Amino acid sequence: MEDTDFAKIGDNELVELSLKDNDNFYYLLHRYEKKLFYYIKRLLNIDDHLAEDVLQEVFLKVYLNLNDFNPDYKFSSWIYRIAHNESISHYRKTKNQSKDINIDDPKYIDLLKETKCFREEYEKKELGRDVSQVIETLPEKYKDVIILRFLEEKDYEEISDILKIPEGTVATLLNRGKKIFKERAKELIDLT
Amino acid sequence: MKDISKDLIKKIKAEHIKPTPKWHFLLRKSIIFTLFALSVIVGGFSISVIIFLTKNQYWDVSPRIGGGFFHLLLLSIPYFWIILTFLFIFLAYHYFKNTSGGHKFELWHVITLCISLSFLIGSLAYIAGGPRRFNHFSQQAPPFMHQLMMEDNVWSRPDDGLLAGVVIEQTSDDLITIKDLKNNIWTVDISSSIWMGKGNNPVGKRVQIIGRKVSDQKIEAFEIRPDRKFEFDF
Repeated sequence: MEDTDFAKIGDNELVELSLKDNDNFYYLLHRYEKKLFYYIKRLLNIDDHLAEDVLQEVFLKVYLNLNDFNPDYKFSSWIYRIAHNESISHYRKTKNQSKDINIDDPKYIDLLKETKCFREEYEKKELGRDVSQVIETLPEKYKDVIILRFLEEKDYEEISDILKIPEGTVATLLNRGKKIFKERAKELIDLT
Repeated sequence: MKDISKDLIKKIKAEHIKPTPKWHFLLRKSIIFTLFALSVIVGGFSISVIIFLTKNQYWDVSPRIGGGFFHLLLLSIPYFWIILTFLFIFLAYHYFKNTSGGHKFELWHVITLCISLSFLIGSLAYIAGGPRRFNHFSQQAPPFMHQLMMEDNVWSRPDDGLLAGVVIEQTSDDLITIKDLKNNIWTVDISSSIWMGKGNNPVGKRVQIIGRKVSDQKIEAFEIRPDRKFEFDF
């Protein structure tokens, strides 16, 4: 089958095809490779090399658990869930090691635009660096939902499936997370 | 960025890695669901025992006990079963959250569901007589020791006119002799008493007596009832 054909096939069907022939699994992984690579980098603030290692572990787990995928849910939610769990697992193993803040991700700027009241001030500064710094200071539970909502652009249902929490809780965490984000962003402005 | 997808496919082929079989996940899901169901059932049974113990408490004699109703209430709270109920409702909640789609429900929805199911099962078990049979069967089991101690506490109060024991002799139509819970022998005047479930031969029956202490080792009975612990037939 040509690559162009695979591009038209849905995730669920690709899962079925991957179970029949592991060559097909490549097309499924390829679809999510970049997305998950950046997601892991954002979540863990790690360098490319480490992010690739984590991603490889994620993909291996996806393959091993292919039979556990429930087609009633979105495949993207399921694979993000595995990536999230693997990232948490990696974080726990390495949490005592120092981390460098990632300032290169342009998507942080989009998040900043959500907090309209500070938009103008931040646009004058190094937006990516500041937003990244603020996100890094957020408690994990808020950081998770904010990254998924604003950087990964997932809807509430998907976030609920990825983090295994009710949609109502997603909404609550997002609201509180945004408030904390604004407060911390303001503190950062006051400092500079 | 290296081509991780391609590298992984190579690894899968080289190491002959296979996806975990479907039955493995089905088994795990079945175990979780079974544990959830068992937790609800055990929680329900605990609730039925609580209903049973509460309903069969000796509320009518509370005025005779020092401290009255609240004293009796504190004495009669089935702490073991309440803790057991909470424990199994928590376990039911935990297992439910781990079922497929369980995460979609809010905390209070799941707790309400677990409690409702447990109450439903508990009420059905109570109606079916489950805890009564269990109570009779496990008189000496630790969870019921509290209940037995409670009964000792209520029915070993001759000064308050409360006494329980075994009828060891009927000396006349008006007098019987009983051995109480502490193995003391009492003569009981039954001439003006109401005796529920007396039968033809009361000797050997376990009874609870409500009356008035007349003198050392003698009590005048107003009401005699079968000891509830021993009134159930199998």
